[in-house]
Amino acid sequence: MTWMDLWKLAARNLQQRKLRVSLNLVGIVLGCTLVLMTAAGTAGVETAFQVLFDSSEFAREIEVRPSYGSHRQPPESEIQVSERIPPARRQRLREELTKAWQNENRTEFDYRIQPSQMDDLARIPHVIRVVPDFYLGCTVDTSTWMRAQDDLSETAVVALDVEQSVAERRLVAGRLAATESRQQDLMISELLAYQMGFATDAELQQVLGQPLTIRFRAQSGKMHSLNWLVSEQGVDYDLQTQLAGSIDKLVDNLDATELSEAEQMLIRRFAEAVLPSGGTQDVYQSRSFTICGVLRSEGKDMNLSSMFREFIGATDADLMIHHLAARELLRAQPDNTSLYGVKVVVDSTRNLRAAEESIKQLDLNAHSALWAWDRIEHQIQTVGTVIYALAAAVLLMAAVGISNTLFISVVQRTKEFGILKSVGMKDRDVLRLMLCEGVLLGAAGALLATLLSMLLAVCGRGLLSMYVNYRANTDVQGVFFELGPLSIAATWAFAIAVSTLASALPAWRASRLDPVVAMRQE
Amino acid sequence: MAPAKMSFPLAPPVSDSLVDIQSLSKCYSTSHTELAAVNELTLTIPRRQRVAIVGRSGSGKTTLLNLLAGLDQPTRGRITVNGHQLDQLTRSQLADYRCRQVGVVFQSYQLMPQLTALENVELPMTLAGTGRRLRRERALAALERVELSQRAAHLPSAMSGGEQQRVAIARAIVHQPALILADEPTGNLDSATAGTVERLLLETENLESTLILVTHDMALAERFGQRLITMQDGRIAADTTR
Ligand SMILES: Nc1ncnc2c1ncn2[C@@H]1O[C@H](COP(=O)(O)OP(=O)(O)O)[C@@H](O)[C@H]1O
Ligand SMILES: [Mg+2]
Repeated sequence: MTWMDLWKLAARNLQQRKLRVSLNLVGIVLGCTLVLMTAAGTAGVETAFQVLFDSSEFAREIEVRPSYGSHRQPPESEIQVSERIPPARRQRLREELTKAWQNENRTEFDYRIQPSQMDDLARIPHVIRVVPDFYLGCTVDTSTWMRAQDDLSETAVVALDVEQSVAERRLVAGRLAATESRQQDLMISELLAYQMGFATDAELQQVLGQPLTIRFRAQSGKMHSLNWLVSEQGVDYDLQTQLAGSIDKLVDNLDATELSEAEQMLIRRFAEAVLPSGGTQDVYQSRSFTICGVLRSEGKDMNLSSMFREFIGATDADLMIHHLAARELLRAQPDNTSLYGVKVVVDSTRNLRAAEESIKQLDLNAHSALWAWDRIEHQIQTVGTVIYALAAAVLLMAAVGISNTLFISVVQRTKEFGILKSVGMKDRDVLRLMLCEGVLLGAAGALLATLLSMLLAVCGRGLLSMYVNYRANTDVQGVFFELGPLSIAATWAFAIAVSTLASALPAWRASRLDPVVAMRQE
Repeated sequence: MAPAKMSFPLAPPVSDSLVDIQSLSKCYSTSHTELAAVNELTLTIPRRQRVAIVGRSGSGKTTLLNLLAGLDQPTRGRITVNGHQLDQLTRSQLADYRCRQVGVVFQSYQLMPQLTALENVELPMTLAGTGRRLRRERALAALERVELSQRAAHLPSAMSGGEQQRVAIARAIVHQPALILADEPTGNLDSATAGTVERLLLETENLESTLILVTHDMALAERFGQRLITMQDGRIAADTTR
């Protein structure tokens, strides 16, 4: 019997038993659709997150913090733990001892990033920007062009990453600080402009191009430590000055008191600590800028990509300067500008891990959204695996069902096989006929499942992107429910394999039937 | 479109006889007794003879016919048809024997319900791997012989019993087998329809085949056969040739 005639007869047999075939098809289609949608959904979610992650400018940022001494390794003798303790606990104890040693041996430098280290960071491959987390308290002087206003005097300057697209969106008037004119350009907040009396768009235009001088303490004077010590207690500045005078007087006249030599020594040391010798007055510096733009606060204008945002540095302040200008300012004022953090931006999320490693080599701490990404990916994969297992269970049940109905149908078709054999059908052809039916059934199921999945994918994609775009205020079209050719091919292979294998046993049984026995069946 | 090659060698006929049955027995053992449906039966039938086998119900006619058709295996003895000793054939060769050497008409038609009359008639040739065109041509000719050309595209369920049996006759003669076997072919039909079927069977006379008809109807057997064999308890009780 030729293959052509076999396939035709198989198709005819399936056509004849519509109800049973439809029932089998439902099983295959459900199973396959579930698997396909699972594959598409899981891959889609993963791709969507990858796209979001890669396109998020925040995800390319690394928060750099001082080491706090954690880079320093204690000598072995300091963390020696008795050999009698079980290894796991010994390891824990060694770690605790290391931490304790690091705490004790921490220096003042471990709390700071040195301004020179920003250049080291900038030299790391793939690093495109280094933005200092920098906060400079200052007073504002606009007396050349407007009446002085008391409540504006105490404020601060921060560094703004002007290359971040969020910065552009915050512009209310004017432009962002430009790299070429970074030493002059200054951006002010919408609030400060309002407090200065500029509210309407037209008024804001008047602010642009105006000079603004800031005055900041370049070197702390004698009062600094005392101020730091007692201001918390609500001692105001005038009283502090009096207190400083009294302490000075006390130290000068210690000989006249009845205090012992040792007691006098103690008081001298205390006085030196809170009122170090040197100039009594703080040293101030001024810098003049030109207002180039007015920015609103970052506010709630967030999109899904900001889920990868690490909260580095002050973003909202009255005065903002170009991040490169901030770096230069820091370099020029090494003594009194403490740098508690730096934001490093790399060119692509793919280079995050390598850059993080390089930063750690500089004895600094590094954090990025990678840890969140790793967790998300792990979660997606875990959920995916569970759903795949469920889908496989459904297919397995479908396979058992198919095999069951095929078996029953062979029993019911015993007489038919008897007739076929009585007119000369060979065992081999009976077997092949049944397998052909299995393949056709599987292929039909896979075809229907593919079509159904495509339909579902289109609906699902539409709904999901509508939801995501609404919720996340971002456009992630066509990423969800991608039906890959690989998963479609795998589904076809699986469906055909299942229904063929399910047919195999009943097929073999049918092929062994004796024609007289078979034909006697009614 | 030559017919596909046979998968066993054609032994040259040893004698003039087409069918040679030697001490053939078929026993059925039930829980207590052993029943010989065919009992030590010896018979030879020459080519192109028309034989009628009669006997009461249960005398072993159907059993003998099934053995001859290669549908059943004997307990003892030997059947040789057209030079092929049936007990020496493999299952596959036996299938080839069934679709090339014999044509069987059963009492209850035994047509494939999902195939049209034409496809049912084509079936032995389809199974033998005969080409489509030749198959169609011969099947139409066979349907013509049983006067059913106009019903070629109908399914068995759309046909009367008599028409179905005529399709079965067409299927049995279409590949011009050496041996045609008919087991009570009119048993399920009313007398008028039976007459037509009988006439059509008799017309196979001009084919180059040997025809064996089994019936319990003595009158039909006498109308039909050149040779009349009477069976009783699995043996031949009488064998007369006219
Ligand atoms: N499969 C079988 N199992 C047991 N006994 C059988 C079987 N087939 C036939 N027989 C017995 O064999 C005898 C001959 O049957 P059969 O050849 O059908 O007779 P006929 O066709 O002449 O009526 C009967 O007694 C019948 O009961
Ligand atoms: Mg009978």
